[in-house]
Amino acid sequence: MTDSDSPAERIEQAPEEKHTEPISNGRYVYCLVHITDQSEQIAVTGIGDSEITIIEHRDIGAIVHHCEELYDTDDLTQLKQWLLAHQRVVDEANQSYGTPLPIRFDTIFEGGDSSVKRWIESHYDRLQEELSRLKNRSEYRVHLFSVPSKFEKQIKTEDAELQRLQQQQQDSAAGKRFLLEKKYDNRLRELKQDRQSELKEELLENISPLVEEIVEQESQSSLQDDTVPENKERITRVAVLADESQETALGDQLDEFVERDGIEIRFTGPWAPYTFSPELG
Amino acid sequence: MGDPKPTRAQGDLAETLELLLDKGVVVNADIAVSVGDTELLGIELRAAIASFETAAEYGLEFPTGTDMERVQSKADHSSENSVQPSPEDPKEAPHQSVNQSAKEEQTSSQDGE
Repeated sequence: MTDSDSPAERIEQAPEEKHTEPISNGRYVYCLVHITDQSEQIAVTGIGDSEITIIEHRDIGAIVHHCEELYDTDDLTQLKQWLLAHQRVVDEANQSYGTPLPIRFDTIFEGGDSSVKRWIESHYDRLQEELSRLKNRSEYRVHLFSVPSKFEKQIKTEDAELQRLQQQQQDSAAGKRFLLEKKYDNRLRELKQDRQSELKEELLENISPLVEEIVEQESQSSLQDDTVPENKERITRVAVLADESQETALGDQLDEFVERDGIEIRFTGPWAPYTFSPELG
Repeated sequence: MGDPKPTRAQGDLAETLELLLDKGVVVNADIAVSVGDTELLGIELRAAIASFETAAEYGLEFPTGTDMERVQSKADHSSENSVQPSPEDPKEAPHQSVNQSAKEEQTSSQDGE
């Protein structure tokens, strides 16, 4: 949007066809909301400091800004700014209108307000249904990590077989000791995997009564392990859709769950229900 | 016991990235243009993400058919030309405040309250 000079030059070097033609009468859509009498105006600006407006159709509103091109950049700092600006608008929409139906970043409708209205009309029932399903609910994300050093220490002290193998190692000659070490390592690995599966199951059992839906996320996200802290291993990560009134209970439950050695939990939110949003035609 | 509230810290940028780029309502209508639509659109955007770390380290899932060489060259280009937080040690920068247990999380600036 702003610094179009240098990136644009770089684009031209690329031979592939690219969506460079301007979008006619574009509306960048952040999210959809349910409009009530109490709805307040959104006070923040959007991506690139653009003015945020709402396109209303019946009782559904699309939070948009006017734009003429897709947002595309190879500049990470720029991308971060866009994402944070996008997220800020969605958060603000949540404040003003209640749980929004978040639209994927960089979705732009062509053809102005009327085009957006027509689209809302053609999906009206479904949108209504989704907005009421998500009402007063948010997405939270729970990451479960183990701290291998502590985790293993605990397994080692608890398992009699491991202790026996260790004792045997000490009493053996070099050749046999090597085999026993292998056996020891295998046993430790198995126990560790078992323990991780147990913890994961237990976590899911603990939180399910408090949430509406749970979606286990692939342990490798599209951004893989960016969020695994050093010296930790990820056991699992889940996205949950929960009533906002359950947030504290959920936090307490996780707090209790993490009261054991060798595991850590990361709990983020509240997010607009991105993971629980549908695909629409 | 602390106050086990969820966080929305700066360190959650990666989560923001994932949610905004990978989740959310996908609109498949003809009138809608989206970076998610095709591998050609948004290749620069993906390059920017890749320049967080290299695409390989990050395990980015590019749509099938993506010209990976082009993405990589964009990413390299980008990291040469923009200020990257300590590129030689990419683990450092984007990870503030991630390694907390729930009970350590004393959220002061939580959004949405």
